[in-house]
Amino acid sequence: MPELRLGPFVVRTERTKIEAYRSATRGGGQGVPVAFPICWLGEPEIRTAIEDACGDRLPLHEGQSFVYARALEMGAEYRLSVVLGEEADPPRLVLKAECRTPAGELCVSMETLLRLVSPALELSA
Amino acid sequence: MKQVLPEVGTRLPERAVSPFTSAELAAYADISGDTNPLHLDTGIARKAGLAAPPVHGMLLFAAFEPLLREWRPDLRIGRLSGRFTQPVLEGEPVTLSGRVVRVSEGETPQILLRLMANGTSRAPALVGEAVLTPREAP
Repeated sequence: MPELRLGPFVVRTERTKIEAYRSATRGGGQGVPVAFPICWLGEPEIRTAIEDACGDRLPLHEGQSFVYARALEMGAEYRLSVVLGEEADPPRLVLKAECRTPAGELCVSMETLLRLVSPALELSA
Repeated sequence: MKQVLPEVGTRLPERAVSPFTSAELAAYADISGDTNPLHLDTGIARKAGLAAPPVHGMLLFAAFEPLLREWRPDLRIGRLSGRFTQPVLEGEPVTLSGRVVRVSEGETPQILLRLMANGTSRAPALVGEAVLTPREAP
């Protein structure tokens, strides 16, 4: 699969969504949680691209990283760009995303590794 | 005043995380958009050879932030990464641990920690790293 570039999408750090995220992750604190940007990968266009790339294989979240150049602010708007690539051996999708301010300043880079497995694979083996 | 940095080898206080319930997995799926049915449907989990649905790896991942914040509120997380190496199942208790493996001083000090989340199996469920920097650093 050739690399697929998606976005930039307008994403937000809405207080209500962040509070719901905090509650769901048993987190506390005041600011935007470090791992909150993972929720932005649920953007319909990104999700559809992942589903298309998976085909009949099941994506298993294998790895994740967040590298912060500057903290995200509560109630702000950002731009998210994603590059979706595929590796063959072992089969996995690699999503590299960057979140920037509307002025273009980098805030956070994240990488998501999704291992692609046959639905029949026994995970407990 | 110069900040006192942790020493290499310092261990974070271990944290026991009580088991995640099916309602919590559903709530996380809802907010994160990770609605992979493997995490939500016991039948699908059983077909995959698991006794119960596996907890989203990102739920374990997110649990490190409060641990780090409470350990050193004067430091901020500059980088957080993790590999999900073993499934932790719904209803399974988890223990979080961590250790300082490198401290670089200088204009912007950095503290590198190795992190682990362990379920009931011998192997860790998550192996990660965090880089912390003083809050006042740029």
